[in-house]
Amino acid sequence: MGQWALQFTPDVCLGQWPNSLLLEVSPSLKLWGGLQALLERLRTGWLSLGWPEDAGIHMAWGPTPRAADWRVAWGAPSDAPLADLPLRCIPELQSQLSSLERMGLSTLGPLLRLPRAGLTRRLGPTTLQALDAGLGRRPDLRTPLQPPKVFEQAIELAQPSHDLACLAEGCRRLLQGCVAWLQAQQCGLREAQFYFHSGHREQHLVRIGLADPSCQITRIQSLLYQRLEKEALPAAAHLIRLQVSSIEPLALETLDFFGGAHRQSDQLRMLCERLQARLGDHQVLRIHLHDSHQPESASQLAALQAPAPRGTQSLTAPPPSALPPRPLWLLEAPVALPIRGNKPFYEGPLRLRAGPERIETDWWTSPLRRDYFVAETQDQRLLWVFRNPSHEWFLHGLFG
Amino acid sequence: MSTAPRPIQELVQLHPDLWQASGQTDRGQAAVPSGHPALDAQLPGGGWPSGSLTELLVRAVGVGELRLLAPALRRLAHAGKQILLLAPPQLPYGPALAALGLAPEQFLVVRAKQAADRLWALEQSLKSDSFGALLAWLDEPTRPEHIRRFQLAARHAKGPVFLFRPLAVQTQASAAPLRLALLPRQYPGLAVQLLKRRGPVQADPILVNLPLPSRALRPLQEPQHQAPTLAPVRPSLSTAQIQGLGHALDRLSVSNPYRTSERSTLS
Repeated sequence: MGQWALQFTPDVCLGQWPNSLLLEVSPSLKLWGGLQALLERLRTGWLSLGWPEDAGIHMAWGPTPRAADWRVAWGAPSDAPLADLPLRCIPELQSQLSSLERMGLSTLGPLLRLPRAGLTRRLGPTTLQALDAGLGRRPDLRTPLQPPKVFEQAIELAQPSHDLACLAEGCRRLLQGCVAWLQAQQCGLREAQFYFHSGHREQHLVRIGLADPSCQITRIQSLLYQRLEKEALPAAAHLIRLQVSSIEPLALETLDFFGGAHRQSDQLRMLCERLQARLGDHQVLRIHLHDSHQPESASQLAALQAPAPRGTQSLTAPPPSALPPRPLWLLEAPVALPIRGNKPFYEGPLRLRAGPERIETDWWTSPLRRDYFVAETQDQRLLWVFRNPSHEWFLHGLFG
Repeated sequence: MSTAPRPIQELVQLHPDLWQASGQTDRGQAAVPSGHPALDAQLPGGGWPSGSLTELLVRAVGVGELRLLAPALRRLAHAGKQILLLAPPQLPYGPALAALGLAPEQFLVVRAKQAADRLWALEQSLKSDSFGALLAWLDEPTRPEHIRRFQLAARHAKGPVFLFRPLAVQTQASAAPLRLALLPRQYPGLAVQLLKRRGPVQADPILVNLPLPSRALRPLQEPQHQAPTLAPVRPSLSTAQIQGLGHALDRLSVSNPYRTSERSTLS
């Protein structure tokens, strides 16, 4: 609960009463649009965490932490003056409540009008210090709550279920707590791990990865739902656990006055995330050039987030007309071509147009000696074929 | 009181979807010039239309479809836009793209094994409006309703959308406003037949010249090039160190590269 409240203000500490929280909100009132708006937000946020409506949350505010504590216990509307505060709300006076009552003191106002020296003797210096702190005459130091380093929370479902709707609801609550924890630290997560426990030992892991650190709940939710739709859980889950261990500070973006380019790159990133969530991480790829003789390794496709394959560098390009021809489409593996009448055969005898270009690679790793030719098929398409030392012909690429 | 009949030009201006069958009307539609003047003259808007589907029908991969689009893609890549390749038939080869002037880092390749995934990915990409150009390969039979959906989704896109489909679907109706068939001709030519466009019917195919950027290829001359088992073989150098290769290979001839007999029927 304290972690959830951290999204509203960085200063949260435990209050005097059990299950109470103190939030310092005056520095950030304007951000939330005023006190009433903040209270509404707190109330709706609290209900959306899943607490039942009648569990009740009592909120009160005051000029000092202790005054807020007193008012919460009082329960009267918060613009009532502190002078009317009944003394039972002040925990330090609990032991002397009966004697104070016999003296005729039941509210705070008359108590404060009594001479100070007499009060100190009767009540004790610590009690008077507490009263002073509550009235703002004395500083009141509190230690704020620190958010934990790793977020790990579990939610138990009422019944074990396969159903996407129930699982989605549970995941949403976990994500809300997680997002509050992230916002408290102004960080974003790159990877979230959802464990679906069924039975004592089996758990199914669903890992959600983001292209850039984010704390937006809708984005993480949509990725999670797509993944859940695609993969069915092996067994009905009764416990969902969310674990987030690696977080990164959020990069603050400067809003471009004219908009435009930022938006398009953001859209592209979100599109890639969606595609990866449904198709798989290794199906959205970038092309990397590599300085190598062997044609297969000169161009490598690597998944988006993967670092560029070793040895990639931008080639200082000689003019394209000086280069031997390279096909636009490369087959994943060379296809053997039958030979008919001394010519390689692919939908008809092939005619060789250009070549040969001999490509020989490092004999110490994988010996390769191929003579590459540009061949033309019967319907006038250009192919890239090669012949190996044992005079077998292979098709390696198509000129697009 | 009778109103004078309005001239036809006024009626055509009423709605963007009205056009005259007899003449070319430039709708002011954003179009990316294709880089081939003969083709641009026939395309509505003077180039590849942005925000709508362009169907390119080919019988098999490798007739020159990417070379045809290369000038337009170069222009978009220079503007910093990304080019999406959805379910390409083979792996695009980086050095060849670089030789055509297309930087490999501007490309994004998306593969999907199942047809349903491919259709979903295409729709998501169209809705996201995050690319400069989208090239998608739909080899399996696609229902016309899907094409109509893609056409509606493509309206959000700010760049051209190219759909590569097999030549066999030319007889099937399609919601794409521009349909071209690409027929191979002798290198370096390619015949582009306009099957459907917003404008008059174009009966003859347009011939475009698509040379590969290498001096190695020359037009075929009789007698044919023999299998060069006896020709001297020069050891090849790595892609970054090509030196003096020009004199070992013939230069590209600039004499008439087109065939004399034209076949206007689609085989």
